[in-house]
Amino acid sequence: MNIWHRCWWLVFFLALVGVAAVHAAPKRVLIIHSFGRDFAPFDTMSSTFRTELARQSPEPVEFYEASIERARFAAVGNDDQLLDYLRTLFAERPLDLIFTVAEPATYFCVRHRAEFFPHTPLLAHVDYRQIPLVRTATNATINPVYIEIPVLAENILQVLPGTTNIVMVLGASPFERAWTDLCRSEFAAFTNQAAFTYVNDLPLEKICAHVATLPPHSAVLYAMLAMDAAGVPYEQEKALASVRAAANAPVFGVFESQLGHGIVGGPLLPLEDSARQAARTGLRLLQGESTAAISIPLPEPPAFVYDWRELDLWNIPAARLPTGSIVRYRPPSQWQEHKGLILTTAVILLAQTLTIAALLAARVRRQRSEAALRESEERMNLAAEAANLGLWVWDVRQDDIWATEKCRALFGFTPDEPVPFAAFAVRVHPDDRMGMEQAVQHALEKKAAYESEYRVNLPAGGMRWIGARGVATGTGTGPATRLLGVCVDVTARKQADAEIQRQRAELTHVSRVSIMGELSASMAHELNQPLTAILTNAQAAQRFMASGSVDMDEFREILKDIAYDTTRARDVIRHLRALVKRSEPDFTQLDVGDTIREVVGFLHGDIVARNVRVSLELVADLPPVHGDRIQLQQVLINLLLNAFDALNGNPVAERLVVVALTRESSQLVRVTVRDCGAGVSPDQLNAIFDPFFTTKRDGMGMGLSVTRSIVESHGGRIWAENNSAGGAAFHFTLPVAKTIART
Amino acid sequence: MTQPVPTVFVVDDDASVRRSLARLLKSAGYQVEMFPSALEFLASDRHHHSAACLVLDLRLPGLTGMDLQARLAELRSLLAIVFITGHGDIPTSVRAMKDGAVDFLPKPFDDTQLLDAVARAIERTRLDQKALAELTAIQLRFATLTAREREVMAQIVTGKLNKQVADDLGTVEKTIKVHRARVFEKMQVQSLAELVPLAAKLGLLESK
Repeated sequence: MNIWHRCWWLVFFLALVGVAAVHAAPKRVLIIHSFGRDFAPFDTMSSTFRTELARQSPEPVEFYEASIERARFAAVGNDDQLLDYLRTLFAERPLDLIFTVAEPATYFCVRHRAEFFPHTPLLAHVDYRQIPLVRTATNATINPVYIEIPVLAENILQVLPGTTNIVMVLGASPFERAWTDLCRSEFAAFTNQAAFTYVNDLPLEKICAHVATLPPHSAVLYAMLAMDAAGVPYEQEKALASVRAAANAPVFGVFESQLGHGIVGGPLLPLEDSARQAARTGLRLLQGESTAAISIPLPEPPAFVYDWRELDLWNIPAARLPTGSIVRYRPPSQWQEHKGLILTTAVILLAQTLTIAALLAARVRRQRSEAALRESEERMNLAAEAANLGLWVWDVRQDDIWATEKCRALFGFTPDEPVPFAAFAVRVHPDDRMGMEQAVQHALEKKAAYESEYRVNLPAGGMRWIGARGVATGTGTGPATRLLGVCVDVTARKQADAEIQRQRAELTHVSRVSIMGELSASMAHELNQPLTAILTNAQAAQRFMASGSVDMDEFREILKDIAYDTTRARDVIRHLRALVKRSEPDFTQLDVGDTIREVVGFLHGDIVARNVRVSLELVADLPPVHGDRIQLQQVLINLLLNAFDALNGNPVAERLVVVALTRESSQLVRVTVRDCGAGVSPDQLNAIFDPFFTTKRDGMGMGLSVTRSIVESHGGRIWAENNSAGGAAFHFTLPVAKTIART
Repeated sequence: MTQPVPTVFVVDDDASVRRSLARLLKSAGYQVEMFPSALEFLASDRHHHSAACLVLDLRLPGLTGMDLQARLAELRSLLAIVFITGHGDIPTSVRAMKDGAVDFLPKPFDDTQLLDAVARAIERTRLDQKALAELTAIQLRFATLTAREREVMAQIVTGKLNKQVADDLGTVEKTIKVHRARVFEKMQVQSLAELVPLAAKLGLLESK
């Protein structure tokens, strides 16, 4: 068995750094490496982070370091061992911060976020492509490393024009192979200028042999080599040194930390700066700030840094370097020798240049300011309205959406990817997309305000609610050419709305169950009828058999009746269950007339017991409504029981309730429950729908309030009035179901 | 003496319950007539049936079971009633029993419970009919007495001697003797001992 398989996490070490023996409680920081801690370029990231955090923290910091090693070896055990180990280790030593370096360690922590110290903030120092992933994890934030791949090739082709062959050096570990794949796809755009070769499958000595015999017009791009194809690990920049020593062509790098180790240079990633930024973020987290309060650092424009020695060796003239490039390791030159003269000349030139520039700038500024004023006013007004908003501007003709980093993060866009409208629209939840697009269309056509709320499906999974507002602008009479505005994460508010909905449903349910108490006599009657018939039929059959007078026709009839009555009893129980059951509203297309008939059938026992008559006046062939059957039944039961109560004092002949179903308008149907009782006192006609309003001795006063809330949640309206002939009438409307799309 | 097959009238608004009751009662040898409502039963004019009883649902649309019981009392029907109910309360059942119901069965009930109650009800109807027939016969005889004879009868059944009666009525003993003989003859009794129960049934003993 491979030793790595058996104990992959044995290459796990703990380091205690900078423990000051002071009285303040130390802060505990766990650094999780993807490789060992001495592998380039990650060693730069973790050591700078460690040093800076220890230096800046007012409290002593204990650092613990673990390496998941997974980056190097594909075939490893499951995560459980490491997870158990770390959990056991830190069970008694609460962690204050978890810091992950690179993707594998970050994946590990995000994957086990819920079970792996979820209350300890997680800070991931990882490529910016992982921003969406980290944002999905709870209590986590990211310090991104903005690795842009195409600029690496552009740099080589600019510095060494005519290069036709580029050897990309990345090792054989799964992590390095993943990056190789990414490079392969990003470099596809350059394959018409140069051929790219990859050496993942070679051991270091073969790589060295390969780069030693490259044809003319070749270059080497060295990213990292943590482990070669022979499985040999290379810490720090040992492999780079070997490659550089062997290569017969210039070697380019990716990270600033590689400069001085034999690379030519280019747009190098300042990992130290990035790690210092991570340390600042880490400090804020240690001081108790929430991960939600940390804004993700923006990319800095890369600094072009070159090694003079390499430029000189490969005859690369300074003129080919991008303006503003920094050249290091330059030997002492004329500058040192004629410093005074050069300085004097430069000062004079600078003074002249500044004067000219100032004059020009003043003029340009005046011209620009007018144009910029309008836009900046619009933007800033909106921004001022509420801080913490994402800002965006859509140039309709270019179909390009400019958006702030915050705004991009809300939608899971990386800071640099271009965002045409279609790319934005596809992130919007399909159910909300049409509404959003209509709002946009309307705003553009009318040059009007834009307002929309929609769900966004994040590319890394997960969903959030976005509220967006804006305004369409443009010159002339045509449609608007620009739409600009703000957007904000309204997920929390939507969740609060959902909570209110839930509580309303709970109240609806409780109120429904309380009706059951009032109906229990009726229910018992409804159940006892079929039970009586079943029992009596069965016993009659037994008697027929005992007496020997077996009439098969009679028996068939008896069995038929028993089956029928069993169905009846089952239906009563089902109905009861449906009313008592706590269930999510289930909106379907309903025939209101059927619902009315069902409820009246259901209340048959009460109708008989109270000696009332119920007359139905239902207009036939009305369109269906969109509603929850149980809730609408609840509304009808409430209104009918109220009507029955209102008739209590009437003589039997005058105990009539009319239920009418009519068409209110093309969009609405109306249900009326009319009694001929004492009516409602005119000053209470509105108050009766308020919670806790009751005129009954034992009433809770929730019935009509819940009734109104149900009707309104269906998009209808409920009101009461007194009939001219006496008694009260309760009316409610319901919108007819839309046949095309639901609202 | 051969009795006719007794008839049970079933009044229940639930068709299925009605049918099942009819089967059970038929299995026990009764004739059954079914009515879906109290009014339909009243309209059928069956309430003076002699060998019968009424199985009556308490809850009926329109006229309720209790209403029907009251109506039948007004009509001097002797039909004994067995109430059945899907959901009865104690005050209602007490009232029904006080008003003469034979039994009050909560649904669902066992066949024996119902058949026992029905048998008792039929017997009750029969006895009541018999008692009524007897009373009617006595009343018919009593109707043939003259005013004076009724006075004499009312006096002698209280145990008074002829002489006392004569003194009270302001006449002579001999005249009372004649009246007494006429009363015995018309009421078809041989002795005072036979006359007293008839007087009791006629209500002549109650107040003085």
